[in-house]
Amino acid sequence: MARDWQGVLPDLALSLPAFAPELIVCATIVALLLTRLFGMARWLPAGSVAFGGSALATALACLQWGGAFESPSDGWAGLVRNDALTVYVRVLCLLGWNLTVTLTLLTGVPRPSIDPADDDGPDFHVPLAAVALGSVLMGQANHLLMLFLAVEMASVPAYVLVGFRKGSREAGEAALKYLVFGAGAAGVMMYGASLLAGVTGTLSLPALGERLALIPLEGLEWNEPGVGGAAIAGVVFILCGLAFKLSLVPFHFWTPDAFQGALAEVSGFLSVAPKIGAFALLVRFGLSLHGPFGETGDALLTGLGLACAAGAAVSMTFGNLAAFAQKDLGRLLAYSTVAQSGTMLLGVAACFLGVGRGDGDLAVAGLAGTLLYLTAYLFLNLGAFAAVAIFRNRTLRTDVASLAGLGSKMPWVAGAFAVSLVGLVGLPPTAGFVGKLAVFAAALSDRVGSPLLFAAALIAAANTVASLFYYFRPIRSLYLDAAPEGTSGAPIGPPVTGSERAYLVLLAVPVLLILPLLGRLGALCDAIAEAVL
Amino acid sequence: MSVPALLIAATFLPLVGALAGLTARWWRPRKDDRAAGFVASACILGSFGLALTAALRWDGPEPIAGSWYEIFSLAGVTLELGHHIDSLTLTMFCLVSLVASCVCVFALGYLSDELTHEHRDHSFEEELVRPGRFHLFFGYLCLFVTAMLLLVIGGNLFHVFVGWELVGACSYLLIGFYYERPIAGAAATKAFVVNRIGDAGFLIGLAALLAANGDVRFVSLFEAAGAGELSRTALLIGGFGVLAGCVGKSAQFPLQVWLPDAMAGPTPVSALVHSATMVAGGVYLIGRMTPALPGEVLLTVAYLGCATALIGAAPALFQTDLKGILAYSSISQLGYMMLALGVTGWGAGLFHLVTHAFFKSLMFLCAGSVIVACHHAQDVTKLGGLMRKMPVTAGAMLVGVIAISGLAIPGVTLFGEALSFSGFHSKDAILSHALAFTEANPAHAILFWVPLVTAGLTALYMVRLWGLTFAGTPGSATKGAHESPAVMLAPILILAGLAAFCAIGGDGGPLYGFLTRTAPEVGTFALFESPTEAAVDEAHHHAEMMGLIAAGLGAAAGLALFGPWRRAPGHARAEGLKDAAVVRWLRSGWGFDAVYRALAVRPTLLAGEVAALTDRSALDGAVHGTATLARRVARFERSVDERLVDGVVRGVGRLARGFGRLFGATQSGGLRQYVAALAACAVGLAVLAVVLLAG
Repeated sequence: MARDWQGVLPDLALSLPAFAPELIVCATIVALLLTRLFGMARWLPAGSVAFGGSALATALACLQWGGAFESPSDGWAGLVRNDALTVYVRVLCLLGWNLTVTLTLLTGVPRPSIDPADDDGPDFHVPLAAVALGSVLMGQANHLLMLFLAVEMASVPAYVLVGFRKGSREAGEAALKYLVFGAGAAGVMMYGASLLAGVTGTLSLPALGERLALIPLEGLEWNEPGVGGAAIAGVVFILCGLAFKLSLVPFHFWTPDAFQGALAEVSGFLSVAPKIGAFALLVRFGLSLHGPFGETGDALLTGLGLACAAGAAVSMTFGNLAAFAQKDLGRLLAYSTVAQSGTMLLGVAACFLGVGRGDGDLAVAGLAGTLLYLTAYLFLNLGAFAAVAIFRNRTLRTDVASLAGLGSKMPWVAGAFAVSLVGLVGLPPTAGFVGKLAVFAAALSDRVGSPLLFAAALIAAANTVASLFYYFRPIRSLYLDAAPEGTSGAPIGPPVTGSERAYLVLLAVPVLLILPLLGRLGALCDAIAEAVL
Repeated sequence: MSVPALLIAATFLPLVGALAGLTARWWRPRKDDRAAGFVASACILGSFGLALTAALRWDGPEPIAGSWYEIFSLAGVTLELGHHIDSLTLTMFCLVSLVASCVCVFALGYLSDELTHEHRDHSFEEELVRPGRFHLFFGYLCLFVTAMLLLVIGGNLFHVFVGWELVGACSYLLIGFYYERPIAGAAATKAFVVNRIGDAGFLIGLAALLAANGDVRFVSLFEAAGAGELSRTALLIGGFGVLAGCVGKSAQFPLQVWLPDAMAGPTPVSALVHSATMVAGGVYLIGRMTPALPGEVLLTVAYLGCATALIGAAPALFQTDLKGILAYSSISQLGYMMLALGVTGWGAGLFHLVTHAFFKSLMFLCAGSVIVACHHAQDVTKLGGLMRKMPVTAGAMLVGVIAISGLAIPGVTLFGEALSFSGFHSKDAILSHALAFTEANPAHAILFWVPLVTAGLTALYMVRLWGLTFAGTPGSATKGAHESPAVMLAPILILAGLAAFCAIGGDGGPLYGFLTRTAPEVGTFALFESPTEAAVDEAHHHAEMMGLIAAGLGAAAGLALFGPWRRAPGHARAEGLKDAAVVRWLRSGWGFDAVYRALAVRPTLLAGEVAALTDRSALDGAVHGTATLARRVARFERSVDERLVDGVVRGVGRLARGFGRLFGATQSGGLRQYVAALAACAVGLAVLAVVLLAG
């Protein structure tokens, strides 16, 4: 026992500084809960506390840039990994959180109450911060236990957030569906993790590859799958849990209901931060299956890559087709999220195939493409949902038809919304184009490779064209459709404030000005991908 | 400071002026304050000083190339911003910044009627009163100068394209400066759209060269083209594509239609943008790209230039608008430059670019001076007899007229050479190259005769312009006209001096010598034979005499028809011609506008209508149909779901049923199926994976 204690202190000294942003998030949560006591809420609103905490955490995460590139390390006795990908996910998720908190301050959600004791602020911001914490943890989990905890950390508060609109039947139903589905997914994932742990005798991701390499996959009998079958089932079950988080078909059922029922601010955040974390986790978990030696790892990774390519093709096709018929903006953007996840998965598929086949360039290109896409996606989706939230505050509706004629009445909001949608389609010169270009280029650069990846890339291209139709429907409504009778002339709701405009511009600027920075950003993503691989 | 540093500073210095002009409404809210104009003038003058210093410090014929910022570099494709500095760059820098300085100072006086809260615009039936926009004009002007210098300094085609588009955008703002007038708005849009047609070609050419060469730096393009590493197809697509861009920007046939309309902008804009700088951008780019252009492209350039010279000159004979004459004259002169570049007269073409910039901007400024004096009357038939009232302007304009006509007095020498102004030398150089070219290739004889005839026409319409404006009896619009203030006359005098003497020594003089220090070597082509230097020298004497005779004849005819002795309006000798159908046809610029309206504009609008109609009826129907289909499929799926999966549920376990009972009150139909589907999918996928991986 004495030896163990000797190792703890240096480990603590190493882990704590790297973990500082997460500790800030935890401190923010505690502070939010404490503001309820002692009547502090009167002079220190929960929104301000959340904003301060998120800004501080984001700033700290940004300061960690660079250090993680030079010396990647394990933290908390191997539970988490601290490397370039960790910092990348941390910065993006915390930035997303900060932007979401800012948006809630601007749109006044949750509604401030006259009685501070009845204020919903802490109730709202605590789960929001917890989702951010879970997302960040997903990006660094290095242990099956941590994997499960991080996914649940990001999921459980999200159920609360979705059902936050008190008294709304829609929101309650959505939250219940989300909860039930999430519980099922958690069960499946837990089962997978226990299978994998039983087969390999370890929970640590880095050790997984070596142990798996000892398990032969050849000659499995259908009626007697043995250890190999259990290992495969374990991997698949864990992937099912991750696919639930990524809302990939066929684990996406919760997405449209949840995004329609939840507040647009919440939907925007849930579509971004947990997804960035989950992608990082998927990459980490997938790569951990590939040990330093043995054919099992190669076979597993190649199979995984092909599965991802197939999943990508199915997800984007289904997501796009389903989005066609949607009338509600939240539902439309939810299905768009499903499709976008599919496109991003294409890069991960290229990465896994590259690793499985020993093609380092393909692996780096695929992962870098996904990372670049995720960066663009953060601004695109937050911008789109922010515009929906601001529209909702004025029209009190969230259907596509409610946008008719708003292009001239609220030019700034409409313009920002249009920029986001055009970016989601992937038209140049927006950030979406850059992301899609990087992912497609990676998938198509696989010259010797598998026909499946190539076919998936072609399906993705066809889907991009198809997605034009539903992404442009709101734009058409904004600019071409006449305003409904009786409302023309009179402004709806309070006028858009300058700070709301500034916020939308802040989100639209990176979307529009990414092209000149493409060289730097691409090099950065390449560097992260190389560091991880 | 090194030469590149000086030029980069010169490029971005006017941005300060732009910023000052665009933000003046906050830091100088008073309308009668010229501060922004002074800042702008100082910045552009400073820019000129830097450019001049760079030109003096530059040593040697070796071009300086460098990179500023790499935008991205993928395998085989590199896009970057960077500079390429040689004698052409330096000449253009000095030229642009000098003319811009003169125009900027002139505009301080010209636009003084904008210095009020209640600017009255008389071009409407009901007088339009609006706040003046003095500061804004100088902001746009400085922005334009930066864009133009960015274009000129560009070390690769992509960089040039960036400057090219910025220049186009600034030109849109400047032409549409009086945007309340419908005519100005329409002209700005027309210029913008017509230019985009050419730019589409430019983009294609840029992409072709980028794909073939991997980067579009001029240095590497020329090396690759010289070494024959680029495929012929790439060179042809690249060359014709770039030419399309230049045809649009330099108002060459068949895209010349936007330039006459662009005169709707303020006159200083016409002087800077539409005579000296932006329209010369196309000529500059053809000159820059010459080492990489194949023979077919060069010959096309020559014929397009030749056609444009004539097509521009004929309508100029019949224009009644003061600036209209100058606009068509610009088209014609730009044709000359293109012609020279096409017949391998690189130096001659760019030499004419420089001289033309000086004398044409001089004439536009003189026109501006007249327009201000006559209360914005521009119709030459209502002017006349201004010589006495505005002697300085008249004299300066005369210098311009003599220069552009290429008139000279042979035999009389001043400082050891024939008494002549700048236009004589440059036009002489062009004609001698054209003559030598046609002597070497007799099949292309038209390339000499058309410009020779056009030289005569040029003298005729220019003398007509001067005669109608300044000579004869005073016209109806000249009441109360007086000489312009010094702030407008000073730039006119400086430009007059340059227009007269900048080309001293002709093609043996300092300007030509500096310009051609980095001239590309004349290539050999399969399509035609390039004239040798000796042949050009030999042709010089003939061409000089013939050009002089043509110009002399034109000037004499002009004097006879429109000289001081012409009769009062209504009794002029050519009166009968005034409304002949052919004259109206020529006056409207050969009716190109009508043809384009019928062939391009109407069909486009019609296609738009049809598309809107289709969208409203057919496409919406299709989309709704798809939606219905999707709903039906979903319903079918659901029924399968409920029957099939429900069955599975009972078999798989009590989990789903338990949940169903637990939440029976609030559950919607799908909840149980969701979880069942989740479990089924997970199990199914696991089985699939085992089968696929192990089997």
